[in-house]
Amino acid sequence: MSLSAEEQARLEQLIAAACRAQPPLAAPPTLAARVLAQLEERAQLPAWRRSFSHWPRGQRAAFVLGSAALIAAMLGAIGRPDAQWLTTWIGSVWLSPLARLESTGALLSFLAAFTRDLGVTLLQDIPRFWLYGAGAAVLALYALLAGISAMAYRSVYGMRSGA
Amino acid sequence: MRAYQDMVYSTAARLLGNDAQAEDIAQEVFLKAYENFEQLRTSATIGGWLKTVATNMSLNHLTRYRRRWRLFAELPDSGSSGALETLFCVPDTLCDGIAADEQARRLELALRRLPVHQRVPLVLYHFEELSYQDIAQRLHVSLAKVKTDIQRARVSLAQLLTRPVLPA
Repeated sequence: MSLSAEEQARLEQLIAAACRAQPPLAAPPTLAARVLAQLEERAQLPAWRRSFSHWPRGQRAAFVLGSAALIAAMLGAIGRPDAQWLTTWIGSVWLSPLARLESTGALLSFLAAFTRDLGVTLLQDIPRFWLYGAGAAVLALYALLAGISAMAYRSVYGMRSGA
Repeated sequence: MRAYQDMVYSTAARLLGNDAQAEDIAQEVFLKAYENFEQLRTSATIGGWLKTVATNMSLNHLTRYRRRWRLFAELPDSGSSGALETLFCVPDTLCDGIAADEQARRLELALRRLPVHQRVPLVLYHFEELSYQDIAQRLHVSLAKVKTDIQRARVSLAQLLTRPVLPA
C-alpha cells in the first residue's frame, strides 16, 4: 500500500462524508404493486401449494405419517422385514419423548443398514466395468458441459458486461 | 411499506449493483415482512429489521451467484487494479463544485463500477456502518482482506469521482 497512514485516514474521511451525504435511492414505482400482486397471488393459493412450513399442523403430520407409511409398505413389499422400525417410528409420535428417541435411533440404524445393503447389492450385481464406465462418462460429460458453459459465459456475457 | 421502500431498495441496490436484482430482493424483503406482520406490527425497530433482512438477502444472493459463476467469471484477470494506489494522490475534496444531485448520481455510478469484492465491503462499512471485524465475519474472509479491499475501493471511488467526466 503506497498511501501513508495519514493519507489513508484523509481518504477514509472524504469517502465517509460523501457516503453519509448520499440520499437513499428511489425505489421503482412498480415495487409496491409487485409486492401487493404477489401477496394477492399467495393468498389465493390452496394450502397444499404453499411451502410446507405454511401447511396446517394437522396436514403436515398427516403428510409425514402417510409418506412414512407408504415407504414402510413399499419396503415390506420388497421383502425387508426390518422395515417394521419405520412403522414403530410412525407409532412413536404418540409415545413418550424417550420412546420416541429410541425409536428414531432404531429407524436411523435401519436406514443405514438399508443404504449399505443397497450399495452392496449394486456393487455385486452390476459388473465393475459398467460402474466405472458410467462414472467416467458422467465425469467427462460434466467437464464438457463446464467447458462449454465457461467458454459461452466468457465470450458472450463477459464481453457484454465489459469484464 | 412506502415509508421504508427507498431504504430497503437502496440497501439492496448498493450491495448488488443491479437495479432488477435489487427490486427482486426488495420484493422478497417485504413479503417476508408480511409473513412476520404480527410480530413487526408492534415493533419499534421495524426499520432496522427491514435493513438487516435486506442486507442478509442481498449477501445471500451474491453468495449464490458467486458460487454459480465463480468458475466462469473469476478466471485470472490481467487488468487487476493492484497498482492503482501507486499513482494515486488523495484529493482535498471529492466532486468539488458539482451540484449535490449530480454528486449523488456520480457516487452511485462510481459504486456500480467497483468490482463486487470491493463494493460489498465498502457499502457494508460506509453505508451499513458495520465494523471491519463484522464485515470479515459476514463475508467469511480475513480481516486483512477486508481492510485491503475497502482501501482499494476508496481509491477507485475517489479516482472515479475526481474524473472530469464520468460517462454513464
